[in-house]
Amino acid sequence: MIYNLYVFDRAGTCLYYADWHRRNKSENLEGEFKLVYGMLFLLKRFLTATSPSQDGDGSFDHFLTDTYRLHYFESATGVKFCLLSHPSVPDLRDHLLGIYQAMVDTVVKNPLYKLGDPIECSLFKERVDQLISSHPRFAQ
Amino acid sequence: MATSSYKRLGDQAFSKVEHINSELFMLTYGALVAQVVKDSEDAAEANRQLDQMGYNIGVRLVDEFLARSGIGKISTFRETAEIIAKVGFKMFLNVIATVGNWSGDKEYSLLFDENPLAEFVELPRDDATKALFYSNLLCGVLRGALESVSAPFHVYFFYTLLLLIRFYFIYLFICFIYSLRCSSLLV
Repeated sequence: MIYNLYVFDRAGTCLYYADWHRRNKSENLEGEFKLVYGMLFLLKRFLTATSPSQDGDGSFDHFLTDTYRLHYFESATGVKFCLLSHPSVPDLRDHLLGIYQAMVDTVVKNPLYKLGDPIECSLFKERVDQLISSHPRFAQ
Repeated sequence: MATSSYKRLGDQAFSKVEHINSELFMLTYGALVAQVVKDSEDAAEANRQLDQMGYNIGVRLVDEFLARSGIGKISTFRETAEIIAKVGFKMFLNVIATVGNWSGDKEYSLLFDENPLAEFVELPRDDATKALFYSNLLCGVLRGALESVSAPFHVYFFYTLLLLIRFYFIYLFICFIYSLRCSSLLV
């Protein structure tokens, strides 16, 4: 089961949010975005600080909790993609890269889109929905 | 990573993107520069405009570059130089640059054998175009792209017989801007 997707930019604005099978919808989405971004930011700092080797840059692949697994990808430009899924779903990195590619094709290349604004492109939404729903573990 | 593997990555990336006619591209760029020069009061203003346009392109181009080439976080400045020269320019303009003239670890030059934008161009030697950097858009693109990925850069054109683009990596201080005359042979 793939629950939801967050896309953040370098400054911490939530560019895009989508959920598919989330059972307890949050009433305050804005607050939730700040919470998730803050957690990611602090987690990366924590990981750099506690890393046993010199070259840790705080990047991680996913983390696992009792109820979900958060898959994470950050581009070199600071755009962060998080996909939350059921703990048993394995690696979703390809899908995160696919979402990045979809964002580049439909959003970044759009001259009417101002960088840093929330994404409102229906083409992007379609491509993301298509990409995620094509995963074999999408609905169970 | 070795230079040869970057070359291969560049070739792979180039084969993945859509291609357009290079002559059409050069002529379109020439028309753009001609319009900018006409609209600007002097060459410095035109250079600034081209640089700004390039900057706007660069901040968006970098995401496409990273997504298509699959390059992740780069650890050293020297590696970014190689990647720009071999993968970046190959992917978008189908030319390869050589990285050279390292000065310390913070400044380097990109050398091109041929200018991918200016094959058919000849600049008249009048006041409007004597100090014009015809391909200044490229500097802006590099500046915008690098700024999105890390600290601000200072990129400018430095001419000799070959075409050079010189980079300065600035932390908190501003580098001097060198303005150089270009003759009608070099564009």
